[in-house]
Amino acid sequence: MKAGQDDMLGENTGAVLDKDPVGPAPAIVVRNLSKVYKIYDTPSDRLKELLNPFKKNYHRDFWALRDVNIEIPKGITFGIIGQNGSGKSTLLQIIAGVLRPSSGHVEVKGRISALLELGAGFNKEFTGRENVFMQGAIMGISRKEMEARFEKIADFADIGHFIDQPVKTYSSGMYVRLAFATAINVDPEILIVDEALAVGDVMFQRRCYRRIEEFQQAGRTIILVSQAPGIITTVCTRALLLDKGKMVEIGDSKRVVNLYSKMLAEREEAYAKRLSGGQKKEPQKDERLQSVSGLKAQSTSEFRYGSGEAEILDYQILDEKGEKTSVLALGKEYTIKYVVHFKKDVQEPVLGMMVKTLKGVEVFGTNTLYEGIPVGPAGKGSRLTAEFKFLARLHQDAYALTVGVAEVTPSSINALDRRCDISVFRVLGKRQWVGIVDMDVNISIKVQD
Amino acid sequence: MPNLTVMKENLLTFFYFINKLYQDRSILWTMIKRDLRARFIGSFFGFSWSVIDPLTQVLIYGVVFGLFFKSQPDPEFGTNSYILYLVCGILPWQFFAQSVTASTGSIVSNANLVKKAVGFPSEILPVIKVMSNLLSHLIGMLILILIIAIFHGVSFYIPFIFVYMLPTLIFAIGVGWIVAGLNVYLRDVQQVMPLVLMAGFFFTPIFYSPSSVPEPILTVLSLNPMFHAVIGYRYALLTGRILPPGSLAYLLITSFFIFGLGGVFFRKLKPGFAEVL
Repeated sequence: MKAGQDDMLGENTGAVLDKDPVGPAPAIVVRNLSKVYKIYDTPSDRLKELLNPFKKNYHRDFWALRDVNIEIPKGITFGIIGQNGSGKSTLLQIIAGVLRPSSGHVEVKGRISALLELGAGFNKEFTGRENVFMQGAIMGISRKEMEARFEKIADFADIGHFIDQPVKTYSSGMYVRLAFATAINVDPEILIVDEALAVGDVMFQRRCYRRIEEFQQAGRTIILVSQAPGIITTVCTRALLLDKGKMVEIGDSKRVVNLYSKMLAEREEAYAKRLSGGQKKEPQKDERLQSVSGLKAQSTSEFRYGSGEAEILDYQILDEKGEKTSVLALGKEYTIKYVVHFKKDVQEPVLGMMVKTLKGVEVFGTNTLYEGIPVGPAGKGSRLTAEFKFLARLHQDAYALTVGVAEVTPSSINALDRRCDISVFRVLGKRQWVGIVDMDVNISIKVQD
Repeated sequence: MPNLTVMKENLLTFFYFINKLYQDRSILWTMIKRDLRARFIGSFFGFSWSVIDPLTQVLIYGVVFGLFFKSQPDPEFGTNSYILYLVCGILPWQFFAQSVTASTGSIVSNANLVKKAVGFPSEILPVIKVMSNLLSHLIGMLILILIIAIFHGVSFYIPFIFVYMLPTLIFAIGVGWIVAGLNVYLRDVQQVMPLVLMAGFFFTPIFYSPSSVPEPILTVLSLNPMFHAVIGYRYALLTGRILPPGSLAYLLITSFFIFGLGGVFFRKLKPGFAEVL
């Protein structure tokens, strides 16, 4: 294990240790962290191993985390993303000090308040009120101080008379409401939130994110785990992608999330293939993450993935005169045009496009399937040109363009070539308004007699 | 002298441990109150259970051993009422046994807190159980003293029960930490404890007098701190005497030793709890 660790460091130090040379002192430092669980086939194996005088092994090792290195500067919001079982929760539990690492170490500077999985550690028999006070006591806040804060917490949780009912009678939504309200109001320097917010309703989520924003502005550190890529890109500045306990990528949250989407799409595709029985033996499906069937990204910001059985060759944005442009005038008509080269027979191809803000918010996306545009089978070697005509009714800002071609099969839609954020265009306009989309509003005012 | 450093280290660990316990006193207090409420409020007889429970036992043993076996208390305990003799032994033993029983599952049944409440001091869980049993014990003792005052007469030595109550409490917490910690890893502890406590009940002079135990066995039985605590309680309540100094010293030293051992032991097991639960 030791040797393995050294190898990792030797190869990847530059990429993996994501250091901010001039940033503030780190709030959390995680070094060479690993967590291994012993898996026993039967409980009696555990006893056999315990009692065996020759120290014979009866267990298999399961690496929940393997050689994780992170440095989270004070005052930033850090996202952790990954599929189920990737080790996200284990990592948070170790940072929070609930679990012991098998090797490596964690340094935390500041008081942590954590919402691990479904809500914090509430005592189910206690009432909501009692639990709030107990959490305060655990955090070292005096009863008097908690009494002053209680009104605020109850108001934020907004669960009415349930506050004086035992927590076991709560719905999962109420549980999380109270847990979040308490966690954020006990003045932590570091807030850890593990997927918990997904349970609440939309209004409450909005309220939580507003509170998280305030928290960010106050210069506190937040670690957020979420399955929702949108939340990670909008809330977090940096992020970590974990897969099977290993770090895949750490850095700018948009880049990490894009890589995650790509990984998911590829796994989905591999699954679809296994379903259709096409390529049952495909042991190297993970390696494809690194080299995507010869498809090469053209710019550093581009993320490209897909089976590579079709290729998007040429893409451009054309103005009304048919000239290539990357600066769009508000309200004018433009065309996104690209050529697809098919390398196999595709029965039912789908051609699509998507426009996102640079923060990753999806503004608009569509494809031939949604619009009901017949494309027809495309033969091997054939080329198709797609044109998407649109009005640039967007706010004066920069946007990223994504184009893609996919194949519809009875069981799924497989990406053939998806090129995310291939180019950035800018919309210019003189009118004043707020928001992203120009809804072409007509205002009329009449004086009433 | 490696042993000395190890000892020093353990002492330090223990000191921090106790200091932390003191710092967490407000959680401790909140949870003791809650535990008492959970035990008594909502049940029809409420607090009177802390009397009904030992009373029933006294009646059963009183009938079996007093009536059927015609047991007589040793005259050195200053009474010829077998019931009074019995009750003065059952109350301290009950306090200890129920504290330990309640402690055993205290970590496992609060898995949610131990796993998810960051910074939750799990060492207070057994302490809570012992403390809340202490209250029942105090109520029982109060009633017992009233009965003794009416039927037997009290001496100025009554306050000496606290001299024996303190080591009993400390001993119960120490044992509580050990069994609660072990039970997380080996759930069998929960099954074994009733048997151990039953053996403890029979090998402590509760329904018999120490004088009826043959000599070599008596020495073995007197290794149990509760042996001395029970005799101490009887001396204070019934005779107006105090334990011989050697006996008292043994009780104090062993109970504080087990308390310290339990603390260090629990401290060592604690980091693995979240993983096993």
